[in-house]
Amino acid sequence: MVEKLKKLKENIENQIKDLKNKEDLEALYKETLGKKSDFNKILRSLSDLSIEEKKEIGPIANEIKNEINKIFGSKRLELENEEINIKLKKDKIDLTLDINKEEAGSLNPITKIQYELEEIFKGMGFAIYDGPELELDYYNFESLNIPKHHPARDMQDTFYINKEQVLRTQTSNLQVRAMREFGAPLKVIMPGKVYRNEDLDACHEHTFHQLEGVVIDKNINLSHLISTMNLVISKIFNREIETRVRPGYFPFVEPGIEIDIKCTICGGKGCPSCKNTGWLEILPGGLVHPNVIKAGDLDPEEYSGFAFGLGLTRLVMMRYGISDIRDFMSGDLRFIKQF
Amino acid sequence: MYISLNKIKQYIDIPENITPYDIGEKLTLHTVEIDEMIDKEKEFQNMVIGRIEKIEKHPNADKLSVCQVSIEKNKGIFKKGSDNNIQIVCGGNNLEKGMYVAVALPGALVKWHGEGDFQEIKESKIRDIKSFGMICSSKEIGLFDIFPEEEGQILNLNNIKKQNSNLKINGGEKLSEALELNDFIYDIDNKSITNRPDLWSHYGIAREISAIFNLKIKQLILKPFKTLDYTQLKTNIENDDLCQNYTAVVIENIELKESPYWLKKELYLLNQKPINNIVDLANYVMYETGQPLHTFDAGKVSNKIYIREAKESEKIITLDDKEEKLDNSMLIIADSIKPIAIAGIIGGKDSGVSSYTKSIILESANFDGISIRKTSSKLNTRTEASARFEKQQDPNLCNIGFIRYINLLSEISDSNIKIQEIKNIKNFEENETGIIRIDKDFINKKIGKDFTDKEIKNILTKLKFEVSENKNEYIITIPTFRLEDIKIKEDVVEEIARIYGYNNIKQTPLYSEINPIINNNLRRLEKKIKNILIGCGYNESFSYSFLSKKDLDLFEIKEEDLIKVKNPLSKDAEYLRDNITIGQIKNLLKNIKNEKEIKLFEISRVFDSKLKNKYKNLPYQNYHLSCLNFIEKGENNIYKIKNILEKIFDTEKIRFYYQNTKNVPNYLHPERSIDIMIGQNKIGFLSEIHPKILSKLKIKDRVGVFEIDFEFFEEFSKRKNIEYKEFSKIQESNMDISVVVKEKINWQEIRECVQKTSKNITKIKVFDVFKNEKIGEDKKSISFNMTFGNFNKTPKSEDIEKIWKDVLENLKREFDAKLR
Repeated sequence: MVEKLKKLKENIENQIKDLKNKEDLEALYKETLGKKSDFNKILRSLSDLSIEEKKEIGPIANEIKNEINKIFGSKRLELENEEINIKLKKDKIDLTLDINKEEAGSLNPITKIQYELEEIFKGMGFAIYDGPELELDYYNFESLNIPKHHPARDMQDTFYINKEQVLRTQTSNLQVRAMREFGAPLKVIMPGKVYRNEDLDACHEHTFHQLEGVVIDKNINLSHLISTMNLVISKIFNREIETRVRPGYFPFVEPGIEIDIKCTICGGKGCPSCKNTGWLEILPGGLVHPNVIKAGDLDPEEYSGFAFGLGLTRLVMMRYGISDIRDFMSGDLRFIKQF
Repeated sequence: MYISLNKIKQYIDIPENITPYDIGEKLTLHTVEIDEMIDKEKEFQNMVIGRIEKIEKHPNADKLSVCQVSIEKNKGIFKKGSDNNIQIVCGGNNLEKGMYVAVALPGALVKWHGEGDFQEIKESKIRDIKSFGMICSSKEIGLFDIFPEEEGQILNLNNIKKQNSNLKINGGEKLSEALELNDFIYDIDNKSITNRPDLWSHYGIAREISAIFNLKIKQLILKPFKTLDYTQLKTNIENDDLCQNYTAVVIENIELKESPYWLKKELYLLNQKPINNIVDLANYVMYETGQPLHTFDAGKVSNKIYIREAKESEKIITLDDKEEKLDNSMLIIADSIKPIAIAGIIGGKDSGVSSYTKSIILESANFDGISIRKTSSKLNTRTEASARFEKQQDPNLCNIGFIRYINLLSEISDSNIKIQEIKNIKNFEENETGIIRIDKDFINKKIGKDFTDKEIKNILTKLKFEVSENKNEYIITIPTFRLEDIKIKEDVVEEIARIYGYNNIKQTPLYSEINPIINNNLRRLEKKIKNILIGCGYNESFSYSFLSKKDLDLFEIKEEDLIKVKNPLSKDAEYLRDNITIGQIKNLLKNIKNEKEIKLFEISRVFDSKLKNKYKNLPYQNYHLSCLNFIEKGENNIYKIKNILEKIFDTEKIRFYYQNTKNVPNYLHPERSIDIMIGQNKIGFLSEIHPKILSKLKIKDRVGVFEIDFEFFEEFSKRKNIEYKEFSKIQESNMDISVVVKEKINWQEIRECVQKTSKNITKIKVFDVFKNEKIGEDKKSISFNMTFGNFNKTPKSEDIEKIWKDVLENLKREFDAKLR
């Protein structure tokens, strides 16, 4: 009897292999294990056996039944999976296709770099200050130690609105405003738009961006200024960069300096970008002139400080190798979308 | 300003181990900015003196000759002709045997026919005859100003050789050496010496070099001279405060002619054009000492000279042939009859020297810098003299320049010049120095380095300051030529720091108290909104703060509404804008050919004199945010931009409403324009661009824009916009409703009416609006979905229905709405 059952199982195993669909499988199941099946007949005939024989054959028969069930189970799963796979295959689509495409917009590169710098300075404890672009002559010039008819006014071509009002030529206009508003100690940067009355060409814009910084505290000296500026430069370029400091003249600082960096384009060998000097002007600065501190309602005997200015537009041009300064204000999406 | 190193070497013996480039670099690091260093020798590389030994006609060209030129010194190197000469084909019409000429050998740089850029000479064949170089005209080697010659002639050096026995004009000599042009020129950035009147001269720069390299500087040689014991000249200063020093003298027996070679050469090296001996010498002395000088033809000027303010409507024709109208703010030099010069700026044409001049008046003066500057900017005339005077020169310099001129004039004159008695008016204390006292630790405190007494004294002494000590104090005597820029202690600190070298100062990190930084909410919000906008596909496109007259016409803006720029250089910058939208429309126009979908935004200041402003004494200039949406053939551009607008307000939970616009600007669509309101305040507008503007600009599709006052927006963002309420966790449900209302009823009104019906209406969303004949004229159907929630207990369907009916009732009552 056991032989018969084993034979049956073998038969089923052979039959099941070739089955291709669930219906056939279920039919076979009914045929082999259903009520009217041979298997069931054999099991039913167990009752005719003796108790000893029952004890011996019963478990074996059960085990075989279980095994057969298992074979069916795994075949069922196999067929189901196959079915799903077929469905899935039909679902395949081209995911590289653009449907209802929505592009992200872009920031102007000036804004991008400005925000980057703001984060650097905030990390060093600088606040961000903002102020008027249409400014009083007083804040743009006079309070900065540049009286009317001072030759230094030649250095900047100014848009005048009237005798008292100008479009600011430099973000330095906020030095005295910041001192008056916050007092000392003070650590601020003032990024923003400035204006020069110039004709436009690839190198000249009447509208561009600067970032000014001022630190006022007790006992601030040149050594602090140079150290801080080197730190700032290494942060801006994200690496150590060779710098040199030389004298520079700005009426609102004394002493006044210019910080140059080794030309990032030629590495110092000399090229058109650095006018063959190997150096690029990047950061003018100096110790705040006592007259300016006084104008800021602070006592120059008690407080000293340093100021620096960064040509934001120039820095962005350097960073990305942009050769036409007019691109920034052009609104041309072929330019903006690259950033 | 150009500085010649050879000239500097007249004052300082520079050791051989210091190269011209070293000097340039150190000047940059310690004193001034140098724009360019020019090695003249390089300009004249591979150019030698040659002697023409043989001239033959070119067999194949009528106008050309084949010359055998001897360059003796280089015998054996260039054996490319006959008899140790080199063969050169030349077209010069003044060639002669035995003539000394400038020969450009292969590798030399010349200007072809004296025009264009310098190009390299190569060996060549000219009509089948080999030519191993070029015999040059003065134009071709940039020396025309020194050696003016006729067209077609080559430079004949025989005369120069005859007149200047000191020059080594022999075959084979390097041209630059033979003509003493082997100089090194520094082009100094004038802006970097704005504050240093003393540096506007060779001697001034030499003083700096002597301090930087610790080298001795020689005194300028000023030789005494004899004067006659009379003069017919009288001088009179009417404005003492504008003229500190006026020295003038009549010099008789002048012979006006071409300057000697050395003088022309010096001016050429400084990029100046020689004119005649009298004028050239004045310029030369100015470049040497910094003192501008002027010469009048004494025969054309009356005996009395006044230094006075001009009278209204006085006129002068200047040396550069310009007629200038003068006014009483301008200082002039006049004789008894009329102005003869604009003081310190430019001379008059009538009183200038000419070939008939027999005697001159030499003027060496000192004028007030501010006055010169005002006049020079008023007349828009800037000269080498005014550039120096406006920096306020040392009045002691007049004498130095004056004597130098007379000494040199005597040297170069063949005639026996006679110097009349000198007229000199001084309104200043001669050789008066200044004193600055400085606490010893002040210098160290400002620089951040401990200098010793010796170091400080050493640096200051090199700069010609005198230093003495008194307890803890330095007493520093400032030389007269530095009084203009050394006025306070900090100025002395700069002197020490720069001569010591900024790069030698050890860096000290800045430590300061930890203070929370002042928050800038506007900038925080600006960043946030910009990020949202770029997330929505909008691009930050900057536009100018200016509008042009053309813009005003195009966009129909009234001129009187705008702030005007007083002195615009460009026509594009005549007015300040009071909105960003126009700038964005212009930016749209730039992109419309390249893009089908254009989304732009900008946050910038706009200017308006009529609005209230937060900065004292200044017009309104708040930041605005402007957004523009254009999609080719897009019907709903305005609704797309409206969604962006509402998204922005929603991120800050600012509640606002729309209100019909009263005064729509001419460039906006009057029927598709609405104001954005918070409380009673208009904060901006949402609109389409006016179709007539679009058609003028040839834009075929509608353009949606909004612009808001970003600073108002920021103010409202700071208010308490979020009030948290415990929310009901009971499931919400939905119902639709469709009603017919008069067309003029807008959605905002309906929504508000629905909203106030019940606190259990949590969301209202419109999903369909249409009009047709069935509904009736002036009517529209509007369908929306309401979400019901916020219940304390699960509502029964009757509860929901009740709210629904209340909504309908309210709509019927308020708008005469009918259920559809």
